[in-house]
Amino acid sequence: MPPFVPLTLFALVVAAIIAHVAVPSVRGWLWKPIAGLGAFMLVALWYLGLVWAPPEQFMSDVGRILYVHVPHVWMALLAFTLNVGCAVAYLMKKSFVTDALAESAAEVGVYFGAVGVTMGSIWARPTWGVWWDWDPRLISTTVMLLAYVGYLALRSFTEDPERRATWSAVAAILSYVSLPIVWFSVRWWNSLHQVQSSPSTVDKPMVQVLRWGAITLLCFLYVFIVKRYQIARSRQTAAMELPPLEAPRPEAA
Amino acid sequence: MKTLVAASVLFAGLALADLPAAEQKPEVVPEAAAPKHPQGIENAGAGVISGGWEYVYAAYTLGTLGVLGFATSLFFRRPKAQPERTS
Repeated sequence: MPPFVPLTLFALVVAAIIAHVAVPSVRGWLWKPIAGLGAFMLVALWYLGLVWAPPEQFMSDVGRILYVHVPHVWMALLAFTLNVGCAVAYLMKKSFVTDALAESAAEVGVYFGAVGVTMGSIWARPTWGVWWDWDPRLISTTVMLLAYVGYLALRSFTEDPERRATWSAVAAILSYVSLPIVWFSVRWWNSLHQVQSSPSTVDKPMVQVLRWGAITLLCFLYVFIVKRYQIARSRQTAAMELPPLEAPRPEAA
Repeated sequence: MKTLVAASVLFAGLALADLPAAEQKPEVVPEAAAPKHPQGIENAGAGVISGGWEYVYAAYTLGTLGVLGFATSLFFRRPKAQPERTS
């Protein structure tokens, strides 16, 4: 697979999300075949990851966890990238559509990140001998996830939709600073967590299963974001229809 | 006298130098304690993790349940159909 293919796939997912938002006729059906494809690929991932792929040279069968752990963390990073893109777009042009999309991407990113970190912990127990280690990669990932949990919490602090959107857009940009720190932490500091592998250093069947897992979760990333977006838009609409708060009555003299 | 003893030790050492080393018995791994390895434990290099399937199944189950759980949460939070407005 040429190196530009993963980025092209992500661009396709972003294009499909934009189509979902912008084209009402697409909204009703596009998610269904993609969800079906994701479900089929998830079932196949069990076979490919547990049976078809060879055991890793040193980790042996425990290395099979990486086919699900790594794609989950990738999806979290992609969702947070979409979140910051929507936040910047909102600050450039105020639109509740980008605000709702940012909220959806953040929640889906937190989900994928939390599952990915938990899988990493399961992998660490037989590999490192511990469930958790205060390692630069693990600390920075935890800080990143907590930043996005804080972002989601911040959104419930104010009732005013415009103020909420502006505050959270700024918080999204600040939270995104943690992402390059997570990515480069294994190179910047002496980390127990291994550095990123490249397809040239990994056996071909292993790369294929890893990519299969990534495409599987990319399908779910799309479905989860667009369905969560519908919920966010519905809440925005409900908030807009609320009657304005009554002004305090002046006390009778 | 000391010279004689030193010379004797030296000659004895030289005489023993070409003797074959004592045979070392290969380490026997008891059947019950031998961990399972796909290529056989005798071919497993130092530092190779063996077993651990319970962790593998736990991770895959977590991933699948996570997808099902998040999908279910989205289903229950889905926007309700707006009632038709009469006026």
